[in-house]
Parts: sequence; C-alpha cells; structure tokens
Amino acid sequence: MSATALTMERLSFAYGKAPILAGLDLSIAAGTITGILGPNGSGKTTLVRLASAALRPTAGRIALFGDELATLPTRERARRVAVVPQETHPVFEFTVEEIVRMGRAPHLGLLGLEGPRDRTIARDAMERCEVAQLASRSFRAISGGERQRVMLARALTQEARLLLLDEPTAFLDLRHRLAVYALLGKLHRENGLTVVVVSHDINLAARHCDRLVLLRCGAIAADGSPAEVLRPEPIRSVYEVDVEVRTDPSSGRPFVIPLAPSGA
Amino acid sequence: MFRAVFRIASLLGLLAAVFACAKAPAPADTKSAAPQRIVSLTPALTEILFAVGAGDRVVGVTQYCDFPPAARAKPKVGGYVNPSVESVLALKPDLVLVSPGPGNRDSALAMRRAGLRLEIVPAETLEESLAAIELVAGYAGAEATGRDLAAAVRARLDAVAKRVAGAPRVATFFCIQTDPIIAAGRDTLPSQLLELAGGSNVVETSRYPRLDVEAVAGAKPELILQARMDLASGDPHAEDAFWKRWPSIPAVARGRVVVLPDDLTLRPGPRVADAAEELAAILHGEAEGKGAR
Amino acid sequence: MSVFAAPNRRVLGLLIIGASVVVAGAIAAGVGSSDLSLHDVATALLGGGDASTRGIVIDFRLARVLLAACVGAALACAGASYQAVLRNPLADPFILGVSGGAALGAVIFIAISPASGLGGSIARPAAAFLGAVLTLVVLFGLARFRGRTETTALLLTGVVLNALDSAIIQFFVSAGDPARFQGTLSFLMGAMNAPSWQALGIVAVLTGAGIALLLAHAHTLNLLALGDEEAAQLGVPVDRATWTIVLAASLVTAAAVAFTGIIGFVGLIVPHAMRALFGPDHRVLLPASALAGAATLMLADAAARTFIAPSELPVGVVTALIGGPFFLILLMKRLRES
Repeated sequence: MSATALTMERLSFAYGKAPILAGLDLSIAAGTITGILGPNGSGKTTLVRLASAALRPTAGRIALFGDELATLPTRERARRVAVVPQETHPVFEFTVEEIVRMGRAPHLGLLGLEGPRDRTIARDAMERCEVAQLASRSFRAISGGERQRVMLARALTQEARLLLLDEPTAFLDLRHRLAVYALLGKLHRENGLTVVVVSHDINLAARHCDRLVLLRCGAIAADGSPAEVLRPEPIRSVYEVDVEVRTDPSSGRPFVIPLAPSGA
Repeated sequence: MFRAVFRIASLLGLLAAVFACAKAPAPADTKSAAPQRIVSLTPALTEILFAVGAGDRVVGVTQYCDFPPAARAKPKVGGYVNPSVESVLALKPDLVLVSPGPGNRDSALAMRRAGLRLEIVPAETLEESLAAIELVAGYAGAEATGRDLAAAVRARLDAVAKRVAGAPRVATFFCIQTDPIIAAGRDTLPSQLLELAGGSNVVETSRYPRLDVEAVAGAKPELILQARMDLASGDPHAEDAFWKRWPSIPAVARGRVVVLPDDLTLRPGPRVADAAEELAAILHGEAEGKGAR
Repeated sequence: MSVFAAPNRRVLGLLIIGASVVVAGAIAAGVGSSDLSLHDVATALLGGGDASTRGIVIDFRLARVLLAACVGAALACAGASYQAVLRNPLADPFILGVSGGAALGAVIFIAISPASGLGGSIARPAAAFLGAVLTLVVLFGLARFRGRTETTALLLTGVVLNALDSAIIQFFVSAGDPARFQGTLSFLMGAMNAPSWQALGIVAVLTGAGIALLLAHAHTLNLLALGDEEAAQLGVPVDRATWTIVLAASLVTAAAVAFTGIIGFVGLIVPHAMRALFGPDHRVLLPASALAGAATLMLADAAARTFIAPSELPVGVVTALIGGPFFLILLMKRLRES
C-alpha cells in the first residue's frame, strides 16, 4: 500500500443530466487531516460518497492506498476506508456496544460471530472515543453528540486507515462540535489515521486540519494550508460573502469573520 | 357554504322521496290462468316443475339445473348462488321460483322490487322437499299432479323405512368432502335420508361441520358414505386413497367406505325417494343376502 | 425489558424457549377431538397400545404437530428476516405477495385439474409453490431500479401483487363451480389438514434449508438494519445479500403456504415478542423466533382442534384472534413512544 491514501484523477460525476463534478484531480497523502469546504451544491458530499464507493463515477478513476477503488472487493474496501455519516437511524433498538461491534463486520468470518479480539478492539475504540460508559444503553436514546462519538468508535473498530466524515457536526451544538473535532484531531495524531472531513464550519476546519480544499461548482477553487486558502479573495468568489481574516491567538490558525454578502 | 350544502341535501331528499313514492308495477293477476313463463332459480325446484308436467312452460333455469336432461336445454340465468337479475327480467316471466340459499337473497328481492311475481319455496330438508312438490305444483297450476307425485314419493319413502325397520342401525359417517373434511350433520338432507334408510349419523352437530380425522375416528363409524360434490372429477379412487390412510377407523378397517356414484343424496326434490332406496341398498344390501365384501 | 439480551443470558434464554417447544409439542400431541387419555397418548408414542390409538396419535396428531412446528418456525424466521431487510417492523412474510401467488397457484390448480385436490396428495401444494416462485420472478423483475434495490419499490410491488392475486382468485371462485371451490375458502384461512408423511418430509426439508440459509445471514441482517448505504460501507454486498435473504425467506414462506394456506400473525408477532426478550441482534433473534414460532403454531393448532370440538377451526382464525389484539397493543405502544 502506498503513501497516498486517496487519489482522484479526472473524476466526473453527474446525477442524470446534472453534472456535479467535472474532471476533478485530488490527491490526499496518508497520515494527513484534510478539510473539504464549499457552499451547498459544490460537490463536497458527492466527493466523499465517491471516495467511499457509495457512488460510481461517470468518468475518471479513484485509487485507495494505491489500488483501484472500482476493482477492490467490498470487504477489502471496508477494511481500508471507514465512513462517519451525518446521522444514522437504525430501525431497531441496538445498544451502543452492538453498534460499535458492527464495525468489525469486514473482519468477521462466515457466520459473523465475534471473537475475544473483536470484542477487545470494540471496547478500546469506545474508550478512546469516551463512550465506554454508554455501552449497554440504547443507541436511539443517547444525545446527538454522543451518537457521533459512537459512530467514530465504530469507524475505529473497522481498523481502516482512511476516515471519511461528511459534515459530522451538522446537527450538534457548540460544545459537541468542539468535542468531536478535538477527538478527530486526537485520533489522527495518536493513530496516524488519514482523515478527510467535509465541513460547513470553516473555523473549526481551519483549526484542526492541516490542509483545506475549497470546492466551487464541482471544481477545486483553492487548495493548501488554512493560511493559504482562507483569505478574503477565494472566500468571496466561492461563498459570495465578504470576510475579514484574523489569526486565532490560541491556535495560530486563521479565523474567518463574515461581514456581509458580497454584491457580486 | 352551509347554505349550498343544505340546498343540495334537500334537493337530494326530495328526489329520494319521489322515488320512494313511485309505485312498482302491479303483479300479474294470478287467479286467472296458470303461469306460462316460469323461471326457476334452484335446481330442486326445476326438477319439480318438470316432474309435474310444467317443463314446457319453463323459460329460464340456472346453469346447475341439470335434471332432467331437458332442463339443460333451457336458457340460463346464472348460478344458484348468484343469479342474474337482468337475465331473468329479460325473459319476462310471470312466475319466478326460488329456494332461499346463501347469496341469492339480494337478487331475488331485486326481482320482486322490479315487479316480478316471486314465490319462495324452501327445499332443503326431506319434509321441505315433499312440501315443495305440492307448493310448486300449486303455483304452476298443476295441483292434482303435484298431490299425486308427493303421495307417490311419500309412499316409497315409507316403504323403505318399513323394509329396514328390523335391521340394526348402521353407525354411519356421511362425508361431503375430504379436504378439509366436511360432514353432513344432524338436520341436513343427507343425514335425514341416512336415518330413514336405517343408518345412524355419528355426527351430532347440526349443519355441515368441519372435522379433523381424529374426530371421525373417535365417532367410530362402521360405514363411510362419501359424496362427491364435483362429479366431473375423473378420479373415483382419490377419496378412497384418502380414507385408506386411517385404518383405525372401523369403517375403513372393514372396507366399508362407499363412494356414492351420483349426487342423489345431495339433491332435494322429487328424487329423494331414489336416494333413500339407494342408501338402503348400500346400508342393508348385505343383510338381504348379497354376501359380505 | 430485554431480559435475555445480555450475552451471558442469551444461551439461557434460548434454552428456555427450546424447552417451551418441547412442552408445546407435548401439549399439542396430548389434546385432540377424541377422548384419549394422556397415558394412552404416551403409550402410543412409545410404540405400545392398540393399533387404532397409535394410528390417531402418530399418523394424525404427531404428523400435524410436526407440520405446525415446521410451518411456525418458517413463518416466524421469514417474518423476522423481512422486517430487517425491508427495515419495516410491521412487515410479515406475506407482504411481498408470495402468499397471494401461492394461493393463486392452488386455485388455478383446483380450477383446471380433473380431480379435486386432496390432503396427502402433493400436486396442489406443488402448484401453489410454483405460483409463489413465479411471483418471486415477477417481483425480482419489477422491483429492480437501475440495478439498485429499493425497498419501497419491493413493498409496493408486493402490495399490488397481493391485490392482483386476490382479484384473480375471486374471479375463479365467482365464475367457477361452487362445489369445486369449497376448499378454497378454508385454504385461504389456514388449513392444517392431516399431512401425509411424504408431504411432511418435503415441508421439513424445504423449511429447514431455508431457515439454515437465513441463520447464516443473521449478521448481515444486523448490518442491513442500519441502512443500505451504511451496510455497504461496512462491507456488505447489499444487492446480493438483500436478494439472497428475500429469496430464502420467500421460499420458506412459499413452502409453508403451499401446504397449509395463509396463516397470519405468526410471522409478524413472534419476531416482535422475541425482539422484546432478546434484543435485535439477529444472530440470536432468528433462532429464538424459529423456536418460538414452532411452539406458537403447535399450540394454536391444538386450540383449533379442540376449541369447538368435534368441529375444527381453521388455524388462521386462531392466530388472527390472538394475534390481532396483540398487534393492536404493539401499534399503540409504538405510537405512544414516538
């Protein structure tokens, strides 16, 4: 497996006649934490769904740790990339521990029975994500923030090296948003995970990501470190908002203050 | 808005009142002449009509009126469960005869409401069959023939009863069908014929109960009479094969499972005497020296 | 509420349910419409006693009890599987139209066959099974959208197929000879007539194979219950797995319906009750449902045979009378919770 976690070449995708991505090139190095930003309809979610093989591109190729995504067997792919969705609604009352253990699915044998090692991995993941105390509670009964941490724990039990998150904090309050990103950062540092997180929260992404990719209408408008990408100009043409960019003293990262919608 | 609803409602009410008051056409004068165009909605009543000589005046029968053979040539007005009101009206009958059955009530009442003369003649049990002969003959204007026919049938039935009076009663199970098992219960026509012919019905429930094999075995019948409601079926051995699986039933063990060759026992009407005689021969034929099976 | 959900309690729970199957079987074999004492029954089962009692107990009661066990297990297992794969806790084994197809197959057979079908002969069940299989073929064909399976499409197609089959059956019954179709009504309400050992063997093999296949996919059912996309993320080949499970559950249902008609509520209520006891992990829910389904139908059949003895009720009537109120209580619980 190569040092490039994710490679997208001339990637195109369209829903029927409506094109979403057209000839996008992107390469994510292993061990990095990248934020994908952009307004609604810019193709962020589509990008992530293509990377997880939930969608198939209409043109172009994707490689996952060096191997063609299109030809990877389903289970092998599940062992390499894990996805944390925005929300999840299991139709039955599974407990938190049962949900987390489902992450072991790509590693289990024929009958899907877990061994002691599987159970230990699940336990570890729950502890790392600070949800171990919720193990026997019903997943549907815990709070949104707790649910996202459980989903992170499940992604960890998959033992995948690439973690994709699609607006993981969309429905969370401030405190939980901070907690989830902090956890992401910690997991990235301690486990060497490659993280790609689609975010609508520019400042949180700026604080925790090493690299930001700014999308507009299915193409890359800006790509680089937060300081390089978060400047008034790319932001105005992508988001159509005038902003002021300061530096956050506590993190040294750029901090964007929206001013007014731009006339143009 | 309410005003409009009120207006429409009262208009509808008015229309309904007008219809209700509309007089139905008067029924034909029955006293003057015997009916010339008779429709029968029940096979048993069709049989009686032909038996009392009114067959040529029958203009409509159901598709199941198959006796006598001449009846099959008559125009059809539907089944006995669901006769067609329109077909009957089109024939312009001056008399419609029907025996109350499952499903034909609404059609019959509709015919009456349309102004037809409808006479209801129950004909399910033995006694009803005999009474029906005279009733139908009366409606058809053949009272004398009816009386004679009823008397003749009654005489034959009495003769059968007398013949078997001395013989021991045969515990019998009368089976209408086998899947699921449906038996003829106490007050049904087959049961009454059976009792008359010297048998005793092991089923004490009334009407046509559905039983499981265990109940039949528990009743310990010495004879099983198996009717075949669907005579067109080609395999006479199918029912036999079914009963052979249960040798614990006395009738089966002794080989006394008789598949009835016709549906006489299921037909109320003038042929009940034939049916009684047929059953008596089956039940007591051996007793009259025909030799054991 | 989930008394047996904890891992160390699951085995205990399954053993208790298993014991209840034996008890139910004993009760069902011990009662009937004739006056046999328990002693007579026990003796007969062990091979003693007189031949006629043995005939009743073994060829009739035991055969029927075993049939009820197979069919009950099949319906409950299929119901639980459908509820997971369609992500609908109100699904039952007949929801996709398999039962309608089987009933139609049986009715067409009755209409065109020269001899009326009898209990013991397997020609009519074979026709019913064929009807069910053809329904599945239509279902597979209609409900595929650009290669992806949409459960809504599956459900709607099932509803339409059921309605269509119902209409065609009504056509035959109305237009045909009433004498021929006497048996149809009882078939539609669940007819557990005395099976021949040959028929019982066929049912046992078909339902056993189907249940085994479903059990092997128990873990996949857990994942599918999360949602198609999430299951795919976790490595499940969703399309293939969905169709395999739908096929196995449908064939098991078809085998049951072909021989015993449409027995409702077992496939709907038993999985719910087991889920309340064991939690939603299908690796324990499916075996528990199969066992509980067997016990339930054995007891329901015993009730059908004895409630209005010597007459017998169609089993479907018993399951509906008990299952109906149960279902309403379930619905009210769900409404109050949401």
